[in-house]
Amino acid sequence: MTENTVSDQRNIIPSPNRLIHEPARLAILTVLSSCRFADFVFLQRATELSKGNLSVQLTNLELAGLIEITKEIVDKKMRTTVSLSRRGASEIEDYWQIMDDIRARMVGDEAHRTAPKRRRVPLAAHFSPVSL
Amino acid sequence: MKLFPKPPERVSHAALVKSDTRAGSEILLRKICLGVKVYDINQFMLSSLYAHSSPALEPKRLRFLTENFAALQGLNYVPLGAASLLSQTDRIFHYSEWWWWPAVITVCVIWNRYIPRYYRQRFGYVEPRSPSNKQIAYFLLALIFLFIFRRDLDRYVLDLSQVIRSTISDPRGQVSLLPLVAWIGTLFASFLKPSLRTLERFCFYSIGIIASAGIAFYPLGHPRATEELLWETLNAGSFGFGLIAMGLYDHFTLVRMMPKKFEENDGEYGE
Repeated sequence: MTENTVSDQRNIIPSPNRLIHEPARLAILTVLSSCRFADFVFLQRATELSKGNLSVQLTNLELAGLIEITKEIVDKKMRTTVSLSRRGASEIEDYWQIMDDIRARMVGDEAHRTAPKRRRVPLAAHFSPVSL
Repeated sequence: MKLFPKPPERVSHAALVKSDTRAGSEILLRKICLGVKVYDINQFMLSSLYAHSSPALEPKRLRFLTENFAALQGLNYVPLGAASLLSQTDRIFHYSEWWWWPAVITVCVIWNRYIPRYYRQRFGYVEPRSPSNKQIAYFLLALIFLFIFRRDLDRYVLDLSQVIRSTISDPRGQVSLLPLVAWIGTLFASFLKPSLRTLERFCFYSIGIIASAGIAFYPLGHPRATEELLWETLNAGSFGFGLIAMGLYDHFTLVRMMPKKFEENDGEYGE
């Protein structure tokens, strides 16, 4: 049976996870997916987020079970280190997979549209004399 | 018994047109849905950017920074370069003091104590991923290869250096080829890591190779250059200058890629 309704078609195309598909959270997860763990200062400097914004996003990600936060006191100051949880690692991998899939579909459609049309072979060419 | 196979069913022109139309409409529908989905994704991302005033997302920059954070802490190499320069002063000026070396070692120790702390406080800390089994296996294989063929390799390198020295008319070994080898080695090492394969880095290493090759091969056209103080200084110090240049380049790359935008401080370790 062919899928020909709009909802069917929309279901075929995968959707990215809305929790990850947000610039600040995606930036945090991208950093964490490239290392074992990073501290708060590095995350703040790399993602260029304010402390407040970064804290909120980290809390959201922790509540969703995508990251693990560890706090310890070093030189009488709080040191926060963040790492990606097992679930977070698989979710971010799935996210990039979906984005690649959508991009591939778009590129495929584009390539199909812009591909040079096959040159029409003149009829006489099919009947060219063969020398024996 | 059937003598002839059943003739194929005749498909009417109307049925063909109908099936074509159906297939066409399906493709069109798929394209529209894909377009709507992509528009939806982009709009959600844009609205989040405006709503939370988040910075632009650059996954490539973030991955580069995180994966090469330790390598970009270039100030760590600067004292090595300075020590290398200082070690050549007696070769250039034929003069040295007994306290130079202890002083250099003291400066290096202090430097190596404070510079990592500076990086940790200013840029934070990243624990890199542990190497994969494949990388460990390659490293061990390379070590075994070097151990087994160390004598052959030594002989080969010696022969090669003699060939180069006879080509550039330097039988006394005055020309320092180490900087040239180091720059070429660094360039090839950067090719091994995909995130380091950038045009800017390639240009920087190429300039280093050209400069060190220029210094090494300058006496070819100017045989009396080996007696000039300037050439002697550049030749003896090019390894040290190279280390300092590489360190500063990496450091400024890090500073440029991690701008300090927020000054607030709430007692978090590092700030």
